[in-house]
Amino acid sequence: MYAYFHNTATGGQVKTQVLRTIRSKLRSQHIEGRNYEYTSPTQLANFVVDATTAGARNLVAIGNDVDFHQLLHASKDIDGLTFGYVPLFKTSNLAKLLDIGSHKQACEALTARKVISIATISIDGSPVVTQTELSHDDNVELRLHIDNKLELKLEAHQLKLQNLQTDAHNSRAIGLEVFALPTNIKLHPQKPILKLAHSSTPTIPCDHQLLHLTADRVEIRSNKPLQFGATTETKASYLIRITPHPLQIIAKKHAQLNPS
Amino acid sequence: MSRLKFWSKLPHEEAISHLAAEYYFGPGIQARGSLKTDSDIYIDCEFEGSIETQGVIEIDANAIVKADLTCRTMSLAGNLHGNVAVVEQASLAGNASYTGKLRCSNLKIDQGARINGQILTKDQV
Repeated sequence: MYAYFHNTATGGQVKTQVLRTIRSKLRSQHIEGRNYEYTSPTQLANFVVDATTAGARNLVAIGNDVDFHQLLHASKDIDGLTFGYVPLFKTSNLAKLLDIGSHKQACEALTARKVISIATISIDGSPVVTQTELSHDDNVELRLHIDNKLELKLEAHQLKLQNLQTDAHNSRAIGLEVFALPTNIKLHPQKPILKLAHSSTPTIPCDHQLLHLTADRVEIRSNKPLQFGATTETKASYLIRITPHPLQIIAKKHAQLNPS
Repeated sequence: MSRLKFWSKLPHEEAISHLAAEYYFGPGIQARGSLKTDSDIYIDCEFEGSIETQGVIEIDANAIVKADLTCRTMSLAGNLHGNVAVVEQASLAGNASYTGKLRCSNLKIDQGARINGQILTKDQV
C-alpha cells in the first residue's frame, strides 16, 4: 500500500495534476493508495502513524525537499519503510540525486518501484538525505565535538549539515559548514567561518568534486536553542551521525546509485 | 554491476585559498584536538593539537597555532609553535613566527620571518 503526503501550503495546480496522476497510476496497477493532506508537522506525524497502522509501507512526499525531510522525521521510529518523492519544484537537490527531474518522471518512478539504498546522516535520529541546517536568529556560542577528536568553540548562527555520500556502503560523510553574523571580527555573512567539506552540490555524484572524510559523528552544543531546519524543533544540543542502516528510496537511477 | 567512483581528486594546486580548501578554520574559532586527512587545510584561527595531511597546510597571518604538523607543503604567515614535518616545501612569510623543529625538503624564508628552533632540510631529514 502507498500513502502519499502533501502540505496544504505547497502545490497549487501542479499538485492537483500530480495527485490525479498518482491515483490513476496506482489504480491501473491495482495498488491501494491513501491520500493525506496535512497542515503541520504534528498532523503529518499523526497521519504517518495512521497510514503505517493501516499497512502502508511506501510513504511518498509530494512537495519540496523540506516536505520530504519532514516525512522522514515523522516516520523515523518506524522500521521497514520505503520512501518516495514527487518534487513540485524544479530546484530540488533530492530530485537530482534520484534522477527524477520532473514530477512526471517522479510519478513514473513511483509505480516502476525501483528502490535504491542511500546512506544518510541523521540529526537526533531524523534522517537527512541531502542537506539541512541548524540556526538561530543571532550568533550563539557553539561547541562542536567532531569524531571525539576535534573540539571547536565558536560563535555562529547557522550550521549547514550535508550528507556527502550517496553510497550505501561508505560512511564518514557528514559535511559541515558554519556561518556567523559579522561581529567585531571581519566576517562575510555569506562565507563560512568553518568548512569541513567541499560545498558545491555535494550529493550529486560528479567526477570533479573534491570530497573526503569529514566526520562520522558531530556533537553540537549551543548556549541557546537552535532550530532544526526540517522541523519546528528547537534544542540546545544535537547529535549528528551516520545512520547504521541505509534509507530505502524509490528512484529512477537504480543501476547507478545502488552499489554492487 | 560496476560501481561508480563518486569522489575523485583533482591535482593539487600549490597555492590554496580558503574557499578552495576543504578544511577551513576561519576567524574567531578556537580549535583543539587532532585532525588526520588527505585534504588541504586553511587555518585562520587558534588551533591547538596535531594535524596530519597529505595536502597543503596554509596558516594565515592572524592564526595562532600550537600543533605538531605533518603535511606535503606548508605555508606559514602567522604564529606556529610545534614540530613540523613537510614532505616538500615549507614557506615562511615575512610576518611568520615559528618555534619548534622543522623538517622539510625545501625551505623558503622571506625577510622578517622569525624562527626559534631547529631546521632540518632535505639532506638532514
